[in-house]
Amino acid sequence: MKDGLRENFFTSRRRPAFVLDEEQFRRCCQLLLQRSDQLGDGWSWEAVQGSEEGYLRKTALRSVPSDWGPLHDQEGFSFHPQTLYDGSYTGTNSSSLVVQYEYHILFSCSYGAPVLYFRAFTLEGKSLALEEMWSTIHPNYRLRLQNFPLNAISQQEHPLLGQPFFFLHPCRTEEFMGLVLQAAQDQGRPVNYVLSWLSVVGPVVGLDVPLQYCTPLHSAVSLNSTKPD
Amino acid sequence: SLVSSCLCNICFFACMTQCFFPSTFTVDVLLKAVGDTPIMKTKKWAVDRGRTVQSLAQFISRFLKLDANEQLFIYVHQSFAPSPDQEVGVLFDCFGSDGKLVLHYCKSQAWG
Repeated sequence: MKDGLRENFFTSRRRPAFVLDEEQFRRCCQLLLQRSDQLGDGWSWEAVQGSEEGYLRKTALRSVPSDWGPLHDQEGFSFHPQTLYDGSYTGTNSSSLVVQYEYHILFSCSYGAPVLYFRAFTLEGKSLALEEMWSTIHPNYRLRLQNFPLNAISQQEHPLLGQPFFFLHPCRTEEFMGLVLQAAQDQGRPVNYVLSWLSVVGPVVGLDVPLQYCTPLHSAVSLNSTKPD
Repeated sequence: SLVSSCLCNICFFACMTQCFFPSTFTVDVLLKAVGDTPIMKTKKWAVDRGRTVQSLAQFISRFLKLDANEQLFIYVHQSFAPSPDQEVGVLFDCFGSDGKLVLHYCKSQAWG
């Protein structure tokens, strides 16, 4: 994978751009998938019929504290902006809502990067609207994301399924990934682009990427033995 | 002998303390800047085991006086971002070597 990245080494004057191609994306996904299987983390590869194209998929349940944002009333969510805060956020032990998430990792040709699509439902099967989804974002992230509310997370038609999904806009992906990849490359350390990227963006939308993805193979422990979220 | 019995008591209490108050122990963390992120003058810190990655990231952000909209990322193995509520003590157990945990930090505009 390191060699593949070197192809683009001299494309930019300021710093070489780390652009992923589709084949590298698939290889990264397969490696992630292998590890996921060992850990029981629940990712699967969904292939587009009759082609090598596809995406990673995972569903998860997540408990969202109700005091992160709006109060939950009988009608469901209602959005209001989180007031500014400082320091680490510690929620109180008030009630919480259980949300079902579905995460998809697709490849974007135009950005040369993976993109995270996701959708969320209440346990009754009601899909969350954009405003409601915002209230499930951890307050620590919401402050920064709110500087780019229209761009950072928005709704779009899923490129392969044609259904409405939320997605994290990939326009800045190369910016933070490039720094990480450069640092690792300087140390001669191989990097799984998709795994690194996911570890950064996943937590923003409630997707936990366990530490075990990063620890040596022989010490892999099934996630069933760790404490639940 | 009296000495060995005292040592045994000390060890016993140290173990019991660690069991019940694990966060009273600290781990040595070496912070390394990535890219053009400002380098911290003090790189080596003794961090409570129970401190979270998020808390450490906020500390570094304040120390470096970053803008409110600049995101600071922390990585282990230079490439994996542990989840924000991961405890530094656990990271040390998994990735520490030579008595210290090396964490790379990087500021970036990641969103939008």
